[in-house]
Amino acid sequence: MIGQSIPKLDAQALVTGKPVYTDDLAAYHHALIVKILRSPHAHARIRSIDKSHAEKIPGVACILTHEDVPHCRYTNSGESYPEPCPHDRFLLEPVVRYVGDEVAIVAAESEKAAARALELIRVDYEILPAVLDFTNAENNPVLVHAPNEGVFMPDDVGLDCAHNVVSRHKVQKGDLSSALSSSDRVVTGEFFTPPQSHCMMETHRSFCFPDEFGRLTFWTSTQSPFHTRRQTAAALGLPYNRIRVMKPRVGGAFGGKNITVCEPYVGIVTLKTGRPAKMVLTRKETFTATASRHEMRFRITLGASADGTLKAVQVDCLNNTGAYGEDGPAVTMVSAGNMLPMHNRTDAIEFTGTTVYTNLLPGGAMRGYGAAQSTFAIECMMDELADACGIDPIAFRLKNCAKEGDTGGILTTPIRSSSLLRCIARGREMIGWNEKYPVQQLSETRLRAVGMAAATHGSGVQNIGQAAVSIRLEEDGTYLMRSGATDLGTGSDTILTQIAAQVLNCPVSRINTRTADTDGPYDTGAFASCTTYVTGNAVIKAAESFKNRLFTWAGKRMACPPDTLVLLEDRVAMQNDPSRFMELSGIGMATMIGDNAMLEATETYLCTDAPNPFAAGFAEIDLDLETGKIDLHQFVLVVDCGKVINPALARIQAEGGVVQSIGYALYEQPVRDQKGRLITDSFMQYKIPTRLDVRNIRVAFEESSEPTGPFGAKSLGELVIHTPAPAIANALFHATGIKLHELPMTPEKVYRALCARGLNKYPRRVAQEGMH
Amino acid sequence: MFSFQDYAAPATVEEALALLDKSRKNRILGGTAWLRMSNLKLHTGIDLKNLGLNSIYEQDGALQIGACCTLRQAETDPLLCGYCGGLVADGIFNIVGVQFRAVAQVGASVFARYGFSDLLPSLLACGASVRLAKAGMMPLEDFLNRPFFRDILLEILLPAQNGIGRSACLRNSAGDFALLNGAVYLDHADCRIAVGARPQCAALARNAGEFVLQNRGSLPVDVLAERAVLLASEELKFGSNMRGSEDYRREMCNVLMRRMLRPLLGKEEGH
Ligand SMILES: Cc1cc2nc3c(=O)[nH]c(=O)nc-3n(C[C@H](O)[C@H](O)[C@H](O)COP(=O)(O)OP(=O)(O)OC[C@H]3O[C@@H](n4cnc5c(N)ncnc54)[C@H](O)[C@@H]3O)c2cc1C
Repeated sequence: MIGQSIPKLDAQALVTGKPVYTDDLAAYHHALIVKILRSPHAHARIRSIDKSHAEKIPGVACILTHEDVPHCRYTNSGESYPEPCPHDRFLLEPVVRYVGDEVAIVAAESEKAAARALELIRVDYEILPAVLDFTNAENNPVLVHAPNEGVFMPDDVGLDCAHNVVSRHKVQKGDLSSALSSSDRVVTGEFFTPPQSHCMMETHRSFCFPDEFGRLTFWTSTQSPFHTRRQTAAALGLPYNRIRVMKPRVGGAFGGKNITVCEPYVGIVTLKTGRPAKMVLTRKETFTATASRHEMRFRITLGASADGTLKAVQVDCLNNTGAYGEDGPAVTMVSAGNMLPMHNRTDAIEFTGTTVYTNLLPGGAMRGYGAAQSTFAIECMMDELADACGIDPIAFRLKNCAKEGDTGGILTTPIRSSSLLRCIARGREMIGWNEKYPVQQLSETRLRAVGMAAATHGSGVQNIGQAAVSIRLEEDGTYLMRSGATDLGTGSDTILTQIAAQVLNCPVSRINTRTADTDGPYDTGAFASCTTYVTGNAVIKAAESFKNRLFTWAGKRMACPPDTLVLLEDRVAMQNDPSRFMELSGIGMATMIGDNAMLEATETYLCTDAPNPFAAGFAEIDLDLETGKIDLHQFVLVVDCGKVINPALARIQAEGGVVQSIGYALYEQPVRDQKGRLITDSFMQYKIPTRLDVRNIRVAFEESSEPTGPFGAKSLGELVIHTPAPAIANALFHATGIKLHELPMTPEKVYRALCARGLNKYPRRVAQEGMH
Repeated sequence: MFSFQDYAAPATVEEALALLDKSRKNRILGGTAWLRMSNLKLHTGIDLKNLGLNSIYEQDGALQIGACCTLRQAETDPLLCGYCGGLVADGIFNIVGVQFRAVAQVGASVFARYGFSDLLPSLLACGASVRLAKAGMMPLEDFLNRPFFRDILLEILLPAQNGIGRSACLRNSAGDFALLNGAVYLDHADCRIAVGARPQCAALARNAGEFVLQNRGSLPVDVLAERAVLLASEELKFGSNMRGSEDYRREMCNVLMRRMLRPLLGKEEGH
């Protein structure tokens, strides 16, 4: 069962277009259509709103402004409580803080009426100066959130509204200044990483109806039903038992759906009207009014001895969280926490991070969560340091990287498993490093070069991520497994079923897996690469606990000690005499009727370790010296995610992560106008990779065995996005000496750098010679 | 998303014109791939499907492309693929993807005069003409130079000729608009060089073309190409947008032109 490529259990339903997504489920409910009027200004105070014309449109059910809704502080982040997130939102308020911020809610019988009403609402704005440059946010006279307005952070990590600062973070090991002064080689660099849009296929959407007890019941496209319930309850001022959140199939999320951007708005409409209501964001809204990857700046200094031993790592990080704090502080922390473990062997580490507010689209969770940004910066610097030491970048990493058994320093738990050294060796082989490094001249105008990067991440959130799983024997001897885990299209429902089937020794078809319903068992949700590791562990615990109860029950009936029994597909049998058995169907019937012994077990698993997975990525690029265009010829990713539970699902996760990073590396670039409006608000202007761009992606796994993981597994989902951007940048560096520290590496930027080094081919010489 | 209240599929060009002239809120519908990106609220959408404008045919070596042909149809048409070394078909290949090209139409692509168009440089280089319902026949270049006017594009005409051409483009990513594109046509009597996505609409570099014609044979290919390239980037205007700056475009114009011209001139020399 474990290690088999079982097809996704919902694959047929998805590819044959069955109605299993949020909007499909709303179809039969005659739901009101909810739309949001959004701010055209980056920062403004609303003087007045005139909704009288809009309310006259036939079919308009209600129009709500800040005067009509509860004023309860909340955060829309899908983090566990107590969140390190500022509660800086109201459902609606008379101040707008970025272009896209919510101004009014319209609910109408039809799409058309709602759209028309939006056009007729008149808003009088007093336009305020705005903070549009995050490097200039701290100490800016313009404040995004006034200090005396009740913004608070349940887990306060440095909120300081008077300076536009949301959090400060520091990580330290050893004595940095002496480590630097005793280094023979020191390199420094400044890096900028842009925001990135998630571009999930299904935009954000939510559907809400009152159940027979008047409870708000949601079908919603979210990553964390329980956090969605908590934040929605906070925004609406309701007790949790008045809200139920269920997640149907989700058409992709990538972190983008770990925020409650729809639920409180449809919820308030259902509260006010008593009617089912749904909201489906347009693609433009998804680009401009949800969240994007945090924009960051890193200043890095590294030191090494002449023999290439890494001695000092200093990183300063500035993180732009936009108009609302959401995941900002956690992203700053994770940019340290899921990157630094790789370099823990060094004498000294100092990481300082600051999260700032601006009047821009909020940053939010996105695959990689800060570590994608910091890994790009640090891995580029590592190659520059290796170069300064005159050492091959692979040799440099083999020498300095984290290894199995490492402990202490900035590590919160020992590294109990790592096959990183094997990953690097395998990738080196697959890409043909020895023949290709550093560069080949393909023609007068084309170079081919290789570069690599190594990365780590975490598996779940240490001491916070928690999952409960419940397993029950049904009357016919099949199983019901319930969990709060949230399958986003990743296939996690399949993985969890596979894990249960392994313990219960049966095919997956025997298990009915129900997930993601707040009326069922608790789960943190699908973020921080946690589902296989955290919920997977809870599945094992629950299945083992269930088996114990089953054996105890059967042992009594069969007059034998429980530990002499084994569980087979459809029966419990004696280990050394299989002819003595009880069928599960019989047991199911018997325990359901009057035996005071229904066989069900619920167990909880708390993520105490969050072990580091590892990966090595290798890029082979073609560089056009005349245009500066980089074509990615092939990318090789070798992953240590511990035990691979389902190779097919693991491979597509890895390929998807690589593709997302290729876009990040080469051309995904949100562009804003001077007033802070995002103009790359469609797939026509914001370009993600197409099949023609990605060419050849090759993925391999080097398994390790994580002692704390379910059957040895660690995480995978975020790790896989880390290496492509730095590996591509490093290939460019090896080919040309160019240190491009600002993503994306567009042809024009590369061309300028080539010109600066005199490497662009074809100066005007030939033509001029001809003229003499 | 755009919307319209009425839909009409007139049987004659005259009826279509009459409908178009009736209201500024009436519009011709091509494949509507572009229209759907807008929020236009229209009265009548006019579908040209009954006007027999969806084929490509040959008359005495000249080709006529109906306005309602899809980009995909043009790209895979044997006549067009054989015309001037496949110059027109080659340019189309770069537009978005096959599904998209199976919808978007040639007539709309030309009439709308998109700056980024991958079709216009090759059509200009071929010396194409357009036939409009009201304004009649005119060279494509004249059409592009006239201020925008309401009309219906019926056909694109490519003259009988047997030279060869090449097109080239530069994109930040494969699915994006070109940040620069161009096409060159060459035969014994003509050399037409067109550059588009500057980001302004495609235009002919006449001086460069003249220079090639006058100096071919007397200058070595390398030198001839380089000097023509310089002339072209001097006579054409360039601008900046988020895909590239003016300077970069000018310099890339040199690169793309060189890449198109040298093989063409080289081939000629080899004859
Ligand atoms: C996302 C996207 C990416 C694109 N990328 C590229 C690219 O990289 N390169 C490129 O060259 N092109 C590109 N295009 C443009 C595309 O190739 C088409 O030119 C465009 O979609 C218009 O064709 P259509 O059939 O969709 O026209 P429609 O959307 O139907 O019409 C466009 C306009 O032309 C008018 N019109 C249509 N037919 C006629 C006619 N016969 N006479 C007069 N007016 C008419 C319509 O009234 C309308 O105003 C892109 C378009 C989109 C939407």
